[in-house]
Parts: sequence; C-alpha cells; structure tokens
Amino acid sequence: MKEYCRTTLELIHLYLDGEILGESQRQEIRVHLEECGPCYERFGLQRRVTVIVSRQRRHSSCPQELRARISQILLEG
Amino acid sequence: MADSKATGLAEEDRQRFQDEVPPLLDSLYGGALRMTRNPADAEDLVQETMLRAYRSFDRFESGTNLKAWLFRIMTNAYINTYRKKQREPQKLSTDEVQDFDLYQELKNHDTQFTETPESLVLDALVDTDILQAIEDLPDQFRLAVVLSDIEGFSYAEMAEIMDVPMGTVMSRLHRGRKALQKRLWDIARDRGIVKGGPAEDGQGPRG
Repeated sequence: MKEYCRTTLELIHLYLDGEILGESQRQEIRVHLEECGPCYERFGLQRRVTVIVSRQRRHSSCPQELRARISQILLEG
Repeated sequence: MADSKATGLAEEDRQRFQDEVPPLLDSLYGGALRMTRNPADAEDLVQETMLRAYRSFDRFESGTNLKAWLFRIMTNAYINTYRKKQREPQKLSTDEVQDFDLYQELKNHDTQFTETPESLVLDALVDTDILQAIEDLPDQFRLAVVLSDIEGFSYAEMAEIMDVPMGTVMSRLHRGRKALQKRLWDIARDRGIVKGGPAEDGQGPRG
C-alpha cells in the first residue's frame, strides 16, 4: 500500500464523520479519493457500514408503559 | 406547587423538564437497549436516568445539549450499576480484529456476480444481524459505535458523555467499527452468505 493511501485511510473516519480535519486536509483527501480506486472503494465500504448501523435507530421506541411510569414518577416529584 | 417543592426544582425547570425530555425518550431507550442488551435492564436504566436527571436538572445549563447531558447521566448509571453484573461478550479477540480487513475479505471472496461484492454481502444482512453484531462488541467499543453511528453525537460530545479524552473516543470508535466489520463478516459466513473460512492466501492484492 502506498504511503499516501495509508495516510488517507488513517484519516478516513475523521473525513467521514466531518470531524477535526481542516478544509485543506479535507480537500487533499477528496482529491485522493477521486484518483485512487481502492481508497475510494474502502471509503465507500466504511460509509455503507456506518449507514447500515445508523438505520438501526428505528428499532428504539420507548415502550408506552415505561413512558407512563416515568410521567407518574415525575408528577409525584 | 407542592410537588416542585418536594424536589427543590423550580416550577419553571419542572415544566421545562416535562416539555423537553419526553421527546428524547425513544433515543434514550434505544441507547439503553444497545448498552444493556436486554429490554428489562434497558427500562430500569432509563427510569434510573430519569430520576437522576430530574433531581439534578437545576444544574443543567440551559442552551447546552440536553440529549448529550441525559446520555452522560445514563452512561454513568450504566457503568456504575449494570456493567458490573453483565458478562462481556467473548466473540472477538483483539488480535483477530487488529488483523481483520473487511475490504480485503470481500475482494478475496469468490463471487460470480458482476455487482460489487460489498453490496451483495451487506445487502444480504438483515437488521437482526446488524443488531447482533453491535451487541457482540466489547463494552467500550459498543458504546462508541452506538453514540456515534446510531445517536449521531460528535466526538466532543462523546468525550463528555464517556468522560474520556477525544483521542480515546477516536481510538474506541475506530476499533469499534473495525470490530463490527469483523462480526458482520463472521455472521455473513455463519449464515452462508459468504462461503468458507479465511481467504486462501490470506493476503490478496494490496495497493
């Protein structure tokens, strides 16, 4: 693996999460991803897995019975 | 009002709590379920979190992130109470995760399809597989992945919630995502979505 690919992949989570990196670093990564097929595929794979995980938030309805219990506790102070 | 006197919470705060907290209960319950990995403990944890939050709501700084504040309380409650009694999943060894590379596995995976192999394997996994893979992650990794990728917290918020430095957040998230990919691959293999054990030469083309 080329050194530049290694550096890009080390930063790929930060890039994906929109964290920490400055605009010039983001630009460098963007350019590299456009030019390097394997890095772009790795990036795409990581993004896909993250999206699949994020969809799991739909499985999280607070049960009505728990909501009612909490309201009751709060009403009683 | 008498009940506001009982908690020491000003009427204004009490009202704000009742207006602003219930809309966050789905998120909190979801987070609790991912942390405790069972509905009964998740319910207890959310209830405990609500009690603690209500008692200390006068210390919540208005204008800051309420959801992050509640998750911090819940994470503390979880670590202090529930984690002790729970067994850690033993499905992942650190070495295995360290060396694992999902991209390479997918590349090596013998596929006769013309579509990209990653979409085929990932599309074949259903929600219960994904949830199982999350559940199988070691505690700190699971927490990082859940807070980031399910709840959408920033690194700075996660550092607050988990009470660790940003560098630790990044390392746990990075390793957690990698471990998750390993579990997804194992589950895909167990379900027969991909065949066989590790790739034959274990190397494959490297860029």
